[in-house]
Amino acid sequence: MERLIEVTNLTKTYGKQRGILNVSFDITEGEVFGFLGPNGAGKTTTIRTLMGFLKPDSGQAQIGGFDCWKQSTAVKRLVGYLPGEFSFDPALTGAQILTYLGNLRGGVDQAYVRQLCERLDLDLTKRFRAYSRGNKQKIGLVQAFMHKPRLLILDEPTGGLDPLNQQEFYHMIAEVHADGRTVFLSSHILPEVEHTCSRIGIIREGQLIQMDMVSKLKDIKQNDVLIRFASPASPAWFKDIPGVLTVEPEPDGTELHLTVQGELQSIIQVAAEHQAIHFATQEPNLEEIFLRFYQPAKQVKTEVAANA
Amino acid sequence: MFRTVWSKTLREYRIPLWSWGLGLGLMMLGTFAAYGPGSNTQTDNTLTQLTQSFNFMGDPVAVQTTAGYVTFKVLDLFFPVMLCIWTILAGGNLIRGAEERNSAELLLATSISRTRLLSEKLLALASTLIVISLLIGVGTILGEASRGLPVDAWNAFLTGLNVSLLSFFFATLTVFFSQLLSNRGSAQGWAFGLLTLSVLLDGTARTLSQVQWIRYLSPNYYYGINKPLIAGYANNPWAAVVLVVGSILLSAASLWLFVRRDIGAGSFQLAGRNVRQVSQSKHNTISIHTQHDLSLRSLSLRTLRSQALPIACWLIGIIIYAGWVIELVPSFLKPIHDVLTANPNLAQLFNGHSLDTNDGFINYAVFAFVPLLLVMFVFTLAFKWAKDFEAGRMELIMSTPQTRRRLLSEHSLTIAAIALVSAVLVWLSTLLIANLINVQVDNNKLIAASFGIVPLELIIIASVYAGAARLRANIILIIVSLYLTLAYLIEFMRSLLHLPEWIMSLSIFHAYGSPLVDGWHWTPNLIMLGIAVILFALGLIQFQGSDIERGS
Repeated sequence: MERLIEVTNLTKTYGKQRGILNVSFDITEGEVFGFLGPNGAGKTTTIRTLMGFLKPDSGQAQIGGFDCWKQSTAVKRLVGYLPGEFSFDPALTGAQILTYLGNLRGGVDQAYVRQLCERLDLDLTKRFRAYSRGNKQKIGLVQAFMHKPRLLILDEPTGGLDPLNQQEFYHMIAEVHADGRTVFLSSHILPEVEHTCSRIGIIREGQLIQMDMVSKLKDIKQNDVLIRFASPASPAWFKDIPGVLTVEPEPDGTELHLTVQGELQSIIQVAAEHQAIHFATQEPNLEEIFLRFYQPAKQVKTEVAANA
Repeated sequence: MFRTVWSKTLREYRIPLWSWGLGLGLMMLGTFAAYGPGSNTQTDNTLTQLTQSFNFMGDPVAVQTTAGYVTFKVLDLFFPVMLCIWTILAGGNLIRGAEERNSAELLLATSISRTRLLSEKLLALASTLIVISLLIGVGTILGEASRGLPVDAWNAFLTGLNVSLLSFFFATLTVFFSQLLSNRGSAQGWAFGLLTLSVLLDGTARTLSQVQWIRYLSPNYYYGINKPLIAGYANNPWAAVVLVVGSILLSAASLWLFVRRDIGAGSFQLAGRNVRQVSQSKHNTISIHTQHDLSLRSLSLRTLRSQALPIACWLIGIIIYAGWVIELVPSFLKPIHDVLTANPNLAQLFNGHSLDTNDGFINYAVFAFVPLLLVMFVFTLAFKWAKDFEAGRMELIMSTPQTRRRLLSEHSLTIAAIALVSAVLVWLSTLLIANLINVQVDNNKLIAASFGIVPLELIIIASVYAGAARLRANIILIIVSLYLTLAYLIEFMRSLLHLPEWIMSLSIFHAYGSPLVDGWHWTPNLIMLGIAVILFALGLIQFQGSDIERGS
């Protein structure tokens, strides 16, 4: 399959504030890609750089072979975009907004627009200032979908939508996917990404820390391991083992609580060398996996160092 | 400053406080300093006669004295109207603006009551106006000192306070309207309409003795009846009490409405006011009418449509003003000619303008003021570009396949076209009215005077675009307002200041000159056009290379 989005070592900072740092990824045509991360991680910065709203400090982003900054107009012909937050002329009605944006795109299929509005139960007669947050989001979604773009870039698309409309949105994404078109969506909501995306990227503190198929999420899972020893144990036995994220001694000194990513073979081996008498593992649920990914890197390192 | 709503609101007003306070104070000082006719009976009589003819704009009392002249020239109409413009804008923003920005909800989610929220905000506005009064008072004291007149600090402060009282009345009126209507623009529009009506009622009552009773309907009457600056004038404290009581009643009514209505809604808002009356089955279709709406075809047409009402109001207002002044020409010219011949010192009153010809009079009375109005007008139009970007209203438009160059060009060319049309309208209306009342005007010079305003407008428009990509909208507002104030002041007080020519040449109003008297000058106009082109090119380059903010 052809690569539709190609991002290479993309860096964007805001003075002393962090933006994104050396972000690289590819997205192939027809893929539904989920972009996950906590607030301020760099999701929106990445998206707005793809849209040509932000000039990268270094690196490159291309969509459909066009440079996102230098050829942003060509890029926008391929893209339907929903911003994370947006505003519009408060005096315009929903119908006027869609007509205006449709005209700026050179005209759209009115029957398809009507179909989208009906599916999302969007009242087009209200003025923008009178719309609730959810209805503003529906306007944003309709304008992103209405010209049947080759690529949809959606920044937290279900924010403010009720569960029924969320379901409808998932159906719309499935149809776009079935149609062979591409979707790049950012989200905080793991079930939403699991439900709609084939592949995910996780961004934390401006850096892309994980990128994989949703079906391989188990590979990034972390295990909670509790080991009891016959005599007092030292966290230092485990801290240098690859994959060990945290080591916490329990109050009685004979138990260690480890968080481990990946295979447990080395842990078992070291535990056996120090006369372990009990070994228990617990597989965290997906929410916990993501919470751990969202933890600042510094905090994880500090925990290991302090416990050692 | 973040301890109370009062102190936080006061902090928000710090820039307008200093801008308006210092601006009006300086203007007061300048007006005192610029007054310089010699005193003799003939001059006094002619001056009294002249100002009587202008009594629509103010009540000429003791105009042969410095205090009387200053009161007539700037205090009767100019100061109160200028400060009321700000307080009306501030009144609209006070609570309705906070609701539109959703900040009122956050404040009301704390334990603060609605009554306290609105009261503290009103108190902050009143406090700001008191400080502005003090600054006007300081300007008055310095002005009196500069003329070697006895300094009366108390009356100087009362002079400023009187201006602030009227302004506060219109602020509370706007706050009251903002409780009834669901958006601040409508509230401000109604308040501006009533301010205009108030000026018209007051002026008409002074001009036409048959309808003197209508002045009691005008808040401006209760302001103008007090002239604390003029020694020996019988002031009427009850008139000030009327303004205070009016403000208190409007504030109380606003509080009463505010604690009873829904946040975000107007008290008189009809159910579904924002909803067009269409059948329920058609609510999610786009009507043929909307699909064929021309104003939705492009950014330029949309810009034109969204600004249609302010454009019409500004242009009609300017044309009415020009027409009214030209209508005065036949009755003014002879007395002015006589008095200037008898006393050349009196020319200083008019900043050195020659007034004893049709062209000279129209040049002074129309083309010394209309360029400032038109420049402010086009600035408000161009400024919306910066505001919309800052508010994130352009994000969706920017996501369509329109180049940045095209978007900026469409917007700026639309505003430039409005600037050109405004010049055409000023030219045609002046020519038409002059012909209708048989006032001879040199058409070539009139064209020069009307179209000479365009380079000024273009510089100000282009400076907004040059700054918009890098600066916050409020910073642009401060820079341009400050420049316009200084540029106009140094031209307004040029006979007093005697600044070097290179400093004077920095003022666009000085560069504009007096084309209705002197004719068209290519050099300053071409230089201004060149500067406008450079600023526009700078804006284009900056915009093409800058990040687009997310908005707030």
